[in-house]
Amino acid sequence: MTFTPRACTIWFTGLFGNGKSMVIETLVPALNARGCKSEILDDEVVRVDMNWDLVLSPRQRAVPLQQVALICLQSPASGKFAVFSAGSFNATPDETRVVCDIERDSPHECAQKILLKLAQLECFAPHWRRDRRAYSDDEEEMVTQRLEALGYA
Amino acid sequence: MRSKKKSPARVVVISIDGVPYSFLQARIAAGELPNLKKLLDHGSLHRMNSVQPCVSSVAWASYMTGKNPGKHNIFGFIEKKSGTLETFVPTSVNLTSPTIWEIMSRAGKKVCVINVPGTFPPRPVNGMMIGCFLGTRLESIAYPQKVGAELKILGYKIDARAALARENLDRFITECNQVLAKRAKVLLHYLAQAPWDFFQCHIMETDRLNHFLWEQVEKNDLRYTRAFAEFYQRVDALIGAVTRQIKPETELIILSDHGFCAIKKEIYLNRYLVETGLLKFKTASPRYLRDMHAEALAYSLIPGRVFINLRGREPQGTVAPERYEWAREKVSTTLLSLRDTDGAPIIREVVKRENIFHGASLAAAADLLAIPHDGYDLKGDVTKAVLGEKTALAGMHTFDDALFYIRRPQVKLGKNKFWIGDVAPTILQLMHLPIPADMDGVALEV
Repeated sequence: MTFTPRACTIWFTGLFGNGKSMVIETLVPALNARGCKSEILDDEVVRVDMNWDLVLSPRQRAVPLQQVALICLQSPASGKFAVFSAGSFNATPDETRVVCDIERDSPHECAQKILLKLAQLECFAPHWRRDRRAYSDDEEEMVTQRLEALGYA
Repeated sequence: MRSKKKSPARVVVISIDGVPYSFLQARIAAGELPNLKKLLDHGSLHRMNSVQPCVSSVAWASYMTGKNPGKHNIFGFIEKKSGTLETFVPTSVNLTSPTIWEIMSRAGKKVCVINVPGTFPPRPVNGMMIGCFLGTRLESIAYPQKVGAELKILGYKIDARAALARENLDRFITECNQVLAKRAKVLLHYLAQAPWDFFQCHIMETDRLNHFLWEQVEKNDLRYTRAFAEFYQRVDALIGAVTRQIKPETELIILSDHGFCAIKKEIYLNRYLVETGLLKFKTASPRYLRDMHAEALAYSLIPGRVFINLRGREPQGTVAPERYEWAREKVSTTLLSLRDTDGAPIIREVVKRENIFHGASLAAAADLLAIPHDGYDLKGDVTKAVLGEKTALAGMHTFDDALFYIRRPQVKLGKNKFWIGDVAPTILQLMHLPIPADMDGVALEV
């Protein structure tokens, strides 16, 4: 049996020095304590690792961030949390929900709010993938019709 | 409590879906079921509780795991995909606990399991497993797969067609008898041929017939009473054949998963939630749950499972987490005020999920469970324009009238009310296997 934790991507955006890393330092140990694997992706580190020249235009700089974003979006499917710190980069995916405000909340408050949201999303218990399927669409339709005839669906 | 027998027992279980304790007692007393009457001379028959919600997939999941749905993760025949309003059919893939036959397999015991609800697709065991009516083809119904080819040769039928009952009851009764005959053939074949320490065959046709004939039989409708009685006599004869084929020292258990009563009306809970303003749809003629409007407070899945449209969990959730308890109270009060046209109350009780379930899957359970008075069958259909109606369905499940027989004269029931989850640890105890600490059921003293 395979248990797959329900994971998600946690984005931190904002200007350099506004406290993203401090929140991450508080958050990641708390995630680890709950048995959640996580991967920190820092856009500055990514740039350095990829030997990007800091004189690149904003358009050019956006390219690796988009690639990192894609990796982040795939990460939850692998059961791993992606903690993404992205400088002034504001182009988070559409489905992103704002959970805390680094400018207003302390790092501890931010971490608490994030943990609360993750708990609401049922991320902390070993999460069985409840909607794994045993059927093709046609077979499931056939079974559903049978269940309907029995008054079970 | 360990078995008083010195050597680990081999165990045979015949499960007869939806056969009520009270019904079987009455039929035995009337002399209609001679083989079962004979068994009563050597064993004891007990009334047993099912599990809530009272449907076969949930009850048999509790039977095979010894756990409440909050641990085994099966809450009904229809479930919604996490974070969406799309539904799917849960199967063995979604069962999150090991079954007794998986525990036996790990202990080196040979098992042979046939047709127990919730066992499709068949999970690997040390032995063989024929999955249930959730399967569609013989090629994929069994583990190991080669058993499927044997089933074809034996002419095995997975299930009777319930749709036929809505067209022609006589033909449906004939089909139930045919499916039972094929099932009996396969049962007796593998009982004799397969190596096993644990053997179980499940008779589904009893439930099928009860669903479409219960009311007629209760009303002594002479068009159906004879065929109904003859069908049960065939089940009795099959139990007699099994008894003759197994050794006297083999443990024999016969059980059902719930009782039955006649349906007064099928009740469409989502319609009631619409009429009371708690549920809104984006269209006047909704077809699916996904047609729900974001302003909805709650919606229902069959049977009586009610979900609050909670923000952060539901795809269009608008109920703030801090208003969750308020919403549950509001929905509970509204459901309890539901009345039939003659003023009779329809909902007996509304329970919060944490009061009946516990375990890692609790968060997947409905926020509330509406438990109806007997006779009111709660449905989750969103297309109905009426609150309730009578259809071809004649019988519905009841909670407290399942049966349990064991071929041992002395059985001491525990302090708590005996329920279907107690059977798994009882079987493991008979086989001298350790009972997992996280089982909710408690072994009977036998």
